[in-house]
Amino acid sequence: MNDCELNIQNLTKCFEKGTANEKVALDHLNLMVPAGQFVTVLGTNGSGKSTLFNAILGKLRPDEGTILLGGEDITRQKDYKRALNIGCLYQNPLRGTAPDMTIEENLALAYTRKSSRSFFAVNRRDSAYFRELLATLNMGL
Amino acid sequence: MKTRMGLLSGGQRQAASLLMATIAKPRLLLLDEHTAALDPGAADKVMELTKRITAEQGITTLMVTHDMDYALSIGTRTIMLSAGKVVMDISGEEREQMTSGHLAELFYTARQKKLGQ
Repeated sequence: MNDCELNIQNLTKCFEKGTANEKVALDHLNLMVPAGQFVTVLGTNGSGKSTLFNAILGKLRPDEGTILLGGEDITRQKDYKRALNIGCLYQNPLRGTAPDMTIEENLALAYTRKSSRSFFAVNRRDSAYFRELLATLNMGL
Repeated sequence: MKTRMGLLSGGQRQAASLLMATIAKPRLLLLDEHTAALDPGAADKVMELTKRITAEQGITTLMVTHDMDYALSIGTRTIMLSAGKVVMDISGEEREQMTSGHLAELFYTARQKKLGQ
């Protein structure tokens, strides 16, 4: 299936292989997700959810299997490269933001991620765009 | 806008984080229990925003949750992992027929199997 945005085949990850603590975290997992689909994921602690996310994000390297995103094999792509195509949000609201920077600066950081410039600047137009986006949240921001 | 991120409430912060995660239009959005630490009111608000933003942008999304109601009411497909495999994968009518109670039963069965290993 080539029209799948996310195509995970045979993904396997085993921790502490060959020891008494051997733990199979991902066991030849297959998952195909068409573009635009919203999938909810259930699973007990230790079922492999986090390992799956970490493998997709490139935080750990699977023993076997492939991960295709938009048709591109990202299984062994560096994490900072694939980060441009993957957004991630965690349970802890403190994670993933820079607490000492303003909301505007945080948004600007995220907004300019894809540009090749090594620094960012907020111009008036960006600023207006951020303000507009924040207003749509209706969260008093 | 000029408020430091660290001073926001949990709900406000997750809402802003959601904007950050989607502002660069990613191909894929991964949500790892992103409302689990919020009070019920804030969780519902952030979940509504999640639905709206992902629908507007058509982003392919995987959302981990332990809330059986969210698992069935949001998105169009629900999968369950156990021991590193996909053990349940429902969408369409099958998903519509599923109740959160039955889903919870399947969930606990999976857990017991795991504990029995």
